Amino acid sequence: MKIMVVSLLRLGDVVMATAAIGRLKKKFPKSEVHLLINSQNKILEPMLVDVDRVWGFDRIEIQNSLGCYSSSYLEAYYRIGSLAEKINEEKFDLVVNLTQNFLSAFLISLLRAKDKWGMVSDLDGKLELTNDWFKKLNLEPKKVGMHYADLLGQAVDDRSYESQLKLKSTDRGDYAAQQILGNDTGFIVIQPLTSDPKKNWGVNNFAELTIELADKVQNQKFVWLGSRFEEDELKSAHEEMLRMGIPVRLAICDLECAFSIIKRSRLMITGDTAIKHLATAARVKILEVAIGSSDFNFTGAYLADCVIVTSRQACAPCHHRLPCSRDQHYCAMDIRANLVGEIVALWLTKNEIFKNAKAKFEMYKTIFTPGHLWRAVKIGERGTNLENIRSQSGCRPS
Amino acid sequence: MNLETLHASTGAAIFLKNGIRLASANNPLREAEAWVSKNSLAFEKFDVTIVLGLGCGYHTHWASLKFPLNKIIVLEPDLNVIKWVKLEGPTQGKRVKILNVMNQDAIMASPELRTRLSELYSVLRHPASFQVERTALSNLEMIILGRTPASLRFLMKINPELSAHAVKLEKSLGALDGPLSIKDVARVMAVDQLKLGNFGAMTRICRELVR
Repeated sequence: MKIMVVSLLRLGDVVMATAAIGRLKKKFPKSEVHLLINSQNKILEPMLVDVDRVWGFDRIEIQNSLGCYSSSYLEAYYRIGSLAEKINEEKFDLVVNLTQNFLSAFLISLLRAKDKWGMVSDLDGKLELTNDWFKKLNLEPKKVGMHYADLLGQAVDDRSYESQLKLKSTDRGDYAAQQILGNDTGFIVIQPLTSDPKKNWGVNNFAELTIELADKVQNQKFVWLGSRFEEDELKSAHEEMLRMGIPVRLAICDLECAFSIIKRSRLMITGDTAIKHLATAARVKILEVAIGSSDFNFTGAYLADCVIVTSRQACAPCHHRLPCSRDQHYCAMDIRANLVGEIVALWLTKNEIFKNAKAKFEMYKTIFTPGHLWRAVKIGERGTNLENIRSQSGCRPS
Repeated sequence: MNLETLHASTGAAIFLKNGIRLASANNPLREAEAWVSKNSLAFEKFDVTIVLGLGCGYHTHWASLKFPLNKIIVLEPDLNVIKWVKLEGPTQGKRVKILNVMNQDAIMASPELRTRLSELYSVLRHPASFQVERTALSNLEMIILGRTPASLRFLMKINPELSAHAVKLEKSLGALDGPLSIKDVARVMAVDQLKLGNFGAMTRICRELVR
C-alpha cells in the first residue's frame, strides 16, 4: 500500500503531524509512506521517521512567479501540474491531507488515489471533510478543546493508544553538537527568540531567568540556542552573562544540530513553537512560555510532565495573523522572570511545582489521560508534586 | 548588412549595429561570464531558458558551456545578426537553438518553440540587444510571458492541454486591459462556473497562494 501524507503548513505543524504519521504506519504496517511538505521545510527530511520519501511543494517559488512580471504567467500552472503528474506516477492508494486549508484541498483534487482522507476537493471545487475528526479540525480550537496532534492522530486512526511526535537525530547533527558542546550533557537549553514577535518573551527576560537559575541550581550549565539570523540579537546578552560568570554557551546552529543539542539536555525553555515540538520529539522536559498567539491548549508541548506558563490577559491567545492590539505587550510583561526562575529551580531540585502566590500568570502541567489524550491541567498555589498530579488524573508517565 | 565588425582588446570579433556595440570592447567573454553568473538561477532551476536577443553570441556561448544540459532558445528578430554570429561569432553549444522570430505568427510557425512554450521555462534579456531592438524584443517578451490578456490567450491556445480552456475564457479575458495580475485572472476566470477541470484546480491553488 502506498500512502501520500500532505502537510503544507509551517515547520512546527509538520513535526506535530509526525504523531499522525506514526499512527498511520501502525494502522498500515507494510505501507510505503510519502510526505508532501513545503520545500522550505525539507530541512526536516533527514530527521523524519516512518516516512519513505519526502516531496517538496515550491510554495515560495510559485508565489514569486505569480507576482513577478519577468516570469511567465503560466509558470505556476506548469510547476503545479508537473508536481501533480510526478506524484500521480507513484500510483498512491491513499492520500491523507493533514492540512486544513483550501490550497491543500485543491492540490489534492489533482492527485489520483483510490481513497482520500481529510479536507478534499473535487475538480469542480466542491469541498468535503471525510470524517468527524477532520470536521473538528476545521472548528475554532477553543470549541474543540483538544490538542492538534491528538486531532490529527484520531482523524487517521481513532483507536485509543499512545502516540507521540517522532524525529531522529542525524550523524551530521550529532557531530555539530559535539563540536559546540564537547561531551557535556544535562544542561538547560534556552531558545530566547521566535520568528513571531508576539511570541517573544524578550531576550532580557530569558537572561534574567538564566541568571536566577544559575544562582538557585548548583553547577547548572546552560545553552542558548539560536539560528544564524538571530546571532546578533543574542550575542550581547550572552557576553553580558559570561562577564557575570554564568556558565552559558551560545549555540548558533541549524535544525539538525539543535535537535542533537536538545536531546542531550535536561530541560528546554522556550516560547518558540517549532523548537518546542523538536524538544517534544526528543522527549526532553519543557518549560513553555506561551504568550501572544500561542494557544497552548491546541499546540502545547505534546509530552507529559511539561510546564506551561501563560498570561491571564483576556486578549490571549490573539490571532496569529494580526499584530498585537494593545499599547504594550502585556502578556509578556505579566510573566516575571525571577518568579519563573524560582518555580523552575524548585521543579529541578525537588521535583515540586507550584504557582507562586505573587505570580500574575497561570501555570499548567501537561498530562495524558487514560484514553491517551493530551491535557493541560492548571497548577494551583498549594504546593504539589508531579506524582500527585499523575495519580489524581490517572495519567501515564512520560 | 547594417553590422560593422570590430575586434575587442582580446581579439574577439564583435559588431556595431546602428552605432551601438553589442558586446564589450575589452573582453566579451568576461562580460558573458558575468551575465551567466548574474542569471545562473534561470539556468539552474529550469531545463529550458529563452534568451531574448542574440547579440554577438558570447552570452549564449558561455551559458551553453556552463550549463551543457540546458536547452537554450535564442529569439532574435534580426536575421543579419544570426548570420553574423554563424560566420564570425563564437560557436554555440548543441543545445542552443537560434530562431529568427518577430511576432506571434513566427512563433506559431515554429513547432519547437510552441512545444517549449507549453512547458516550464525561464526568460532572460540580453541587455545590449534590447538597446538596439527594444520594440521587437519587448513585444516578444510580452508574448512569451503571458502577462496581458492577448498573450495569455495566445500561450493557452498553443498548448494542446489548455487550448480548450482558452476558448472558454475568451470572453472574460477580452474584458481585461493592460498587464494581468493574478487577482484579475482569478476574478475573470470564475473557475467554479466554467468547469475547467485540472486547470480550474490549478487556478484555485494560484488564487490561494496570492490571497
